[in-house]
Amino acid sequence: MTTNEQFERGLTAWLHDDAAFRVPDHLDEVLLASAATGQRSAWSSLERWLPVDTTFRPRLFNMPSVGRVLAVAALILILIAVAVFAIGSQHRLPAPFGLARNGIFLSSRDGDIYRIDPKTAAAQSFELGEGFDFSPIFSRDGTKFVFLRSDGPIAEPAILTLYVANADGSGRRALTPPTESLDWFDWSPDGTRVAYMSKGFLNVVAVAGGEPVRLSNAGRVHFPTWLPPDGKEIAFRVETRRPAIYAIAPDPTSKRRPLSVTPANNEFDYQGINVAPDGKAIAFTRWTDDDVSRVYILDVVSGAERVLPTDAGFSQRGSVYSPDGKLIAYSRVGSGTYQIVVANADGSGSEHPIGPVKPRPPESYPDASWAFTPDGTALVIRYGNDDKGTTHLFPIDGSPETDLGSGGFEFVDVQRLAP
Amino acid sequence: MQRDLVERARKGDHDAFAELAGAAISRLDAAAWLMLRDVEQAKDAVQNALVRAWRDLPTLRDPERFDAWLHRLLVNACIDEARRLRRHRLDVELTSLSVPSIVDDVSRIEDRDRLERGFLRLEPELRAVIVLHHYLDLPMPAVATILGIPLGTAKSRLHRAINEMRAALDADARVRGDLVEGRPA
Repeated sequence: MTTNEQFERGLTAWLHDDAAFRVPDHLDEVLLASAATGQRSAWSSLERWLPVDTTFRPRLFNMPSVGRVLAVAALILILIAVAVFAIGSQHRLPAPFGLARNGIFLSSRDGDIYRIDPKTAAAQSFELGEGFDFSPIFSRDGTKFVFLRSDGPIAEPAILTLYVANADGSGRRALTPPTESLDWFDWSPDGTRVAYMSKGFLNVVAVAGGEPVRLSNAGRVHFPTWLPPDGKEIAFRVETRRPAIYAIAPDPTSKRRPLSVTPANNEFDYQGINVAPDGKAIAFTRWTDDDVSRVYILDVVSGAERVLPTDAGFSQRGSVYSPDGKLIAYSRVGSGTYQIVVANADGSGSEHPIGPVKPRPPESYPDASWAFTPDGTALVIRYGNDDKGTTHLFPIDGSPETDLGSGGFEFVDVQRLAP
Repeated sequence: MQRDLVERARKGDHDAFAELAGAAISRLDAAAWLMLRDVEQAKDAVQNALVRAWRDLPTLRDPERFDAWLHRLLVNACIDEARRLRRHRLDVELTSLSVPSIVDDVSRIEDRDRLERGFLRLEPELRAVIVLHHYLDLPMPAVATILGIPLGTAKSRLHRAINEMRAALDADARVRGDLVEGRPA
């Protein structure tokens, strides 16, 4: 037996002896306290359905907090300020990738989808029929949106249906049958198909109608994202003990091909993939075995990877490309704090802090989500994941921020309009 | 059985939650005591963890992971309490030094005191990994899951905790040796 083993045996014995005489006498007290505490809605936790990294993508607001509707609704609507412009040509459509004009906010709260006019801050719910609706996401041309619906009480596992509607809320129809564990969906660049996960498998459904197609050859996947510019393939993270980034054409006979070549450090590697608008690079979060996370850029053609620089003692997490692909926003995580920063995607220059340094609870992820506005001039950041959360519009050039309000709205997406 | 209780508690059945809490409280209380070394703070941590468990149960994705999830809530509650108490802890640590004894039984007690002092010098995160692994007897993959860190990180954290404790005990022993021999520490 080594000295260390002896020491650890002694340590174990001491711990057990030391705790042997503990007789907890406060169960009644605990139960009184818990009985006086209301339970959260299952829907109030985004992570119930989506891994944490999901919140680093376009889903800027967290899940609605059901049951607190009346208390927060009026306040939220008043506080939402003008952040983007909603006017524009009704005839031209934006290209699927690149800079675009900012349109309306699309949001959800307590099972309803809302459009929020950035000029008046007025929120108006869509008449989409019965059901608990959430997570609306615009098509890349801004003419339609998809959203998730639960038709009955929330069960475990969740049975959800993917719906599509026109940007004005008309023309609602189901794209999928009620589906178990439906998660993480992404519009194809041309707006004709939607890729989504179901029980970890990759599926594609045509917006025009038809049965969804399962791409079983992809294996267990996460973060399925259509590859720009043409959407001939879908990039995704393979969910294994040694994850990697792969791509597969959207038909059931195609074979997946690896995009990453570097073996994963561990099962947490290759997290939160975000594809550059030109499709040539993929940003992801890499975890090392010494508890450090860094943002890497994967060259889709060569498989080469490079890490974005940061100061010593900091981690990086949750990268999001700007619409023109020149910048990346991510959280810079220090000891007990974090801050959102913007950096050049090519790794040049230094990090540019956006917004305040925020405290971070121990052993937890940054309690925030963020994304660029379609025009690329600002970052929308949501701090907090409940109805006390606040949302801000931070111009990249350092101009004063705009407070977009607080409360339980799930700020999901900003419409892209033709420039 | 436990899964059924968790399912019922998730749907708002407080009696079911009371059964779960009753079954877990001894284990939680002991673990919190070991991490915090303060009766009242351990009570607070356990209460915070259990109340939060009741509040957030509907958001628990997998009922089978209730125990791991509860342990995570407890660890977080203890870390919060420990950070609040750190200054107080240092005071306690300094005043608890005593002269060594040459009697065997007393020496054993002395060893335990030294273990406790070494343990108290650890960061809360390091105490947590020791309690989870060496007291709750959880395998390291489970410890990593509870702490929300990669397995390699959990292992290196445990290694660091053990090394820091040993280093602290060695330093303690040197100080004591100096005291016995009448030299300044």
